[in-house]
Amino acid sequence: MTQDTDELSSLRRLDPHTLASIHDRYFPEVYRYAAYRLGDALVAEDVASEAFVRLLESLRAGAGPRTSVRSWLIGTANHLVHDHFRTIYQRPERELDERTAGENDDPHEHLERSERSQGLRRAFESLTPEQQHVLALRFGGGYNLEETADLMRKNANAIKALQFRALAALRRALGTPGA
Amino acid sequence: MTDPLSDPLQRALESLAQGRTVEQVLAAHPDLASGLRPLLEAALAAAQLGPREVPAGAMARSRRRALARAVGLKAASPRPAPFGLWPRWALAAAALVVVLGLGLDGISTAAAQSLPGDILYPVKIVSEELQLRLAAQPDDRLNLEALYSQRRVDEVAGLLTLGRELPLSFHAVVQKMGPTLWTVGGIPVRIVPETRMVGEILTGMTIEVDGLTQADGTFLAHELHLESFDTLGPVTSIAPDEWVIGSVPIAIDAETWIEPEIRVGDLVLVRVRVLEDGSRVAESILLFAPPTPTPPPARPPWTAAPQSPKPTTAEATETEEAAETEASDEEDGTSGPGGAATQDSGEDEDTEDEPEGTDEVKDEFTGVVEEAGGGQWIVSGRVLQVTAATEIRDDPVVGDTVKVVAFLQPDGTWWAEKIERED
Repeated sequence: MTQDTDELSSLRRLDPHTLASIHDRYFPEVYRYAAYRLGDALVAEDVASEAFVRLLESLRAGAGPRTSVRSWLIGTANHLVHDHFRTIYQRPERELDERTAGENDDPHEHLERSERSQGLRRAFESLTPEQQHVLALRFGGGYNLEETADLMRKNANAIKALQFRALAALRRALGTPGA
Repeated sequence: MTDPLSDPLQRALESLAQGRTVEQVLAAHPDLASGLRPLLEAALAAAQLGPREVPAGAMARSRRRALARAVGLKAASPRPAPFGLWPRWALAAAALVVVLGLGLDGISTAAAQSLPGDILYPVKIVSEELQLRLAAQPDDRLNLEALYSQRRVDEVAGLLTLGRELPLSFHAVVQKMGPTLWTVGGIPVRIVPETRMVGEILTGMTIEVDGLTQADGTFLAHELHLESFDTLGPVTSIAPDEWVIGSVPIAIDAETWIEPEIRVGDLVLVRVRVLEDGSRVAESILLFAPPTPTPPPARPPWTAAPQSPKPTTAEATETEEAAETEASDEEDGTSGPGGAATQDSGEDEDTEDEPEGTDEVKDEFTGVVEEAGGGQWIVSGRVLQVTAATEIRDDPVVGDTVKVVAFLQPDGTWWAEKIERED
């Protein structure tokens, strides 16, 4: 049995040691993925945390992953992100990301950077969910081509094509006035 | 159709990751430079979107929430899903066996419905043991064990209905504790002075009950054995063979798993095993807040390999499984009150560098009210202490679905902070 399979068996028994071990190993990856997709630290924390709760509940109900915990968690985080955006779809305004501001920043410089950052975020959010997913895995999660292909259940050539389309779409969105 | 720039783009990204500049990369592909340049610029922009570090507070809060959920789920009665994990071929084979069996003599069906003391009951037990041995996956075995455990409880209920007297044992959650009559897994259990108690049993704990079914419809308890429970508390002292958690001494043995770097004063979650003589041994001791995560290496993010092992193609299928699972889930709020971000009253003020937040085990869950009233409610098998401080909204009654916020108490019971009826 693989390490994951052994751990899943323990996790079904709600072993706290196994849970803590799995949580601490995968939380940073899941958090970074969610934060990349969402651009909001608090919601990303919520999504990443919820993914682990769903993992426990799914395993307890006799479902959940059979082999790879990481793939399952990233997949679940992806769906939680979708749910989040569905919920706030019509919210008209975005909050300023105050975390980009340092105490010693020049206010003018900070404003400029904040506007640039928001423009980039808007451009990213104009992509299709699949394009956002691939960019979050490649550029947010730091997964290489093969790992991304595995996580998205596609072959490497398909990921290359998707990555190309995503970057082309992002470039177009960034070039759009007002984006 | 694949764009002819897809492959050169990937190679260009790999070159960037090796430390080359955009200009150097484009110089190596002069014929494609005009097409690649905007894509590489977009890639550089995309690399700016994500965070480099994980806030320590976020990880600590999430760990607390997950551990609390695990403790909460353990406090609920096991819900076996006997066929949930069976592959289709196994179900078909099982069905065939049943059909053939019925065609021959109907023994299988009769045995399955038998109770302890019936002539066919040993057939039922042997059949269960056989299925356990044949269970290929540990998960299937676990599910069968939960199913059979519930079956033992159902058999006790059946015998009590018939008024038969037989010695038996079963595992279930303690739901009510009166002076001489308890309810354990729905079974009325008679407590007499001779009843032996192993461990400090409280409502909500899972115990083993040994005793006798009686003609009066109660189960006479010979022994009540608490096997394990979870507790949360500060480390008061540490010795090689014994730790004191709060004021409770708990033995340590060679099999106890202890998270490194726990010190006196730390808040820990302990899973305690109760031995036959009533003494307590720690199975595991976990820090309730984890160490600060290490930031990822400062490399181009699109090439930085994750620290955990690369998934195989087979493992990748889990992504789809997760998608299917989540697609069938109700939208129970990815950012609502159940979220980790809302557990800590500090919320956004201390996210970056403050790992400490609440020092309580909080669990939120949705369930069906099985019993309500008095100082104790039962929601989907979970026993909850209800006090004047408990906020009860929309007058839930038995049968209603409610959302519960509960906290683990030092004695191992759960106190309901809020019970709210769901429409």
